[in-house]
Amino acid sequence: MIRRLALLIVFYLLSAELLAWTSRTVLDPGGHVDVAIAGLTVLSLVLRLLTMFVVPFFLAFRLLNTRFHRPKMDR
Amino acid sequence: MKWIRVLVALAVVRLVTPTMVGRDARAWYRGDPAVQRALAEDLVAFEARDDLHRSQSADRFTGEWALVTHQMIALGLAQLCLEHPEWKPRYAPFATKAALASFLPEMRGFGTRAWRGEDALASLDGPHGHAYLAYPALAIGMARLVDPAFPVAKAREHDALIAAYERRLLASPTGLIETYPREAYPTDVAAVAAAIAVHGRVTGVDHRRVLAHWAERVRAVQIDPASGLVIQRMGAAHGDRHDAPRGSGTGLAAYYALFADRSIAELLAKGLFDHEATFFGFGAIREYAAGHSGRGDVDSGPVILGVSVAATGFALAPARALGRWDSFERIYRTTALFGMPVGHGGHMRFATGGPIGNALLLALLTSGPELAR
Repeated sequence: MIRRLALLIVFYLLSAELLAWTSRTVLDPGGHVDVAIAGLTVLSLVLRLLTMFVVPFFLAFRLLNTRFHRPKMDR
Repeated sequence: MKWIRVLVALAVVRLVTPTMVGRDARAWYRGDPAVQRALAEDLVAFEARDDLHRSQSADRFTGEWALVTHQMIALGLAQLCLEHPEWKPRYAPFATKAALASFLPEMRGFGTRAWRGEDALASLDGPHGHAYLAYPALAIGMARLVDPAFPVAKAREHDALIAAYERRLLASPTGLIETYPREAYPTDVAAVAAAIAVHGRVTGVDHRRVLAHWAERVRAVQIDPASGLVIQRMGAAHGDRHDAPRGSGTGLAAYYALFADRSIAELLAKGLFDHEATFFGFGAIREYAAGHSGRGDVDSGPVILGVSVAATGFALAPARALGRWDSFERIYRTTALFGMPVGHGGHMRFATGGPIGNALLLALLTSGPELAR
């Protein structure tokens, strides 16, 4: 799980940087460029929302599980 | 016990996520030079690239959005010059450059076409409102305020435009002048009032009579008494409603009112923040007053779950200028969550904003020094 969350954060950071670079470089969007920027924007936003909400939730939940989980006794 | 762990994890998200996303909110609110300069430098670089593009490309960055982009860059840079006078040598020339770009004939081509070929500056003696040109007129006024080297010829054109706006506004029983034929937008007329007010500060000309007339008509005609929001679109002659009371128009009108009349700005801000929706430490402004509904359009941007992108962004200006820290913080968090601020080499930008979004945010996040007394 931790590895997946780390990958999610890395993908989010990459997409945000790519989006920032694209929007910085392309002043007059049009046609295919418009579609690419729109797609990248949606992808980056989805990854950002997941990173900002899902990652802290699962990290906290996992920490609580580790701290308070009582293993079942072998019978 | 699992549901307790879920609740605790949700509480952690409630505490951690808004704090993490809005970590720059206090810096923007306090006017931290580091964040202000980083966004300003990015937009200064945009203005320089735009010049190059304009000279090389037939497919130029023009039209209504380009006009607003250059206008907001000029306003943002001029506000920074007022807040940090020592920055004038760096940013005042760029405020002038951006203001002059917003004043180019091709930028207002959309308005000229709407009036069937009648150019706003070529018809100053005429009765038509052409209120859309108040956006660049306000930018020109702010550039004149901070840049002693502003070109004299353009200043004279600006004087003539303001005189025409003053005459048209005083003649209007509704305090409205048309943007397009048979369409008046109280927000655009707030820009007219702002442009007139700033012109008074620059030249010393007394515009109090027209500003008092505008303010009185805003209270009596343009604000929906039930919601406190301004009606988005109206008839100029009789003040009949052509649209609902909406957050996007009210938000931008509140920003413009800051230049012209503090009491009107406070009134509009109250209506705006009465429509703030909050969730998990994030804030956003509802687009439509209760009892009204509609889809997103060019004014509001997307309307999602009843809140609009534009109304939310515009609310940053009155929140900062009028000292509403709590609202500012919540709304900045939402702006940052969806705007995705990224930094690079001493610059920063909101990755999803594009030129117009970043220009708007520079002006809105630095609002305050322009506040009328």
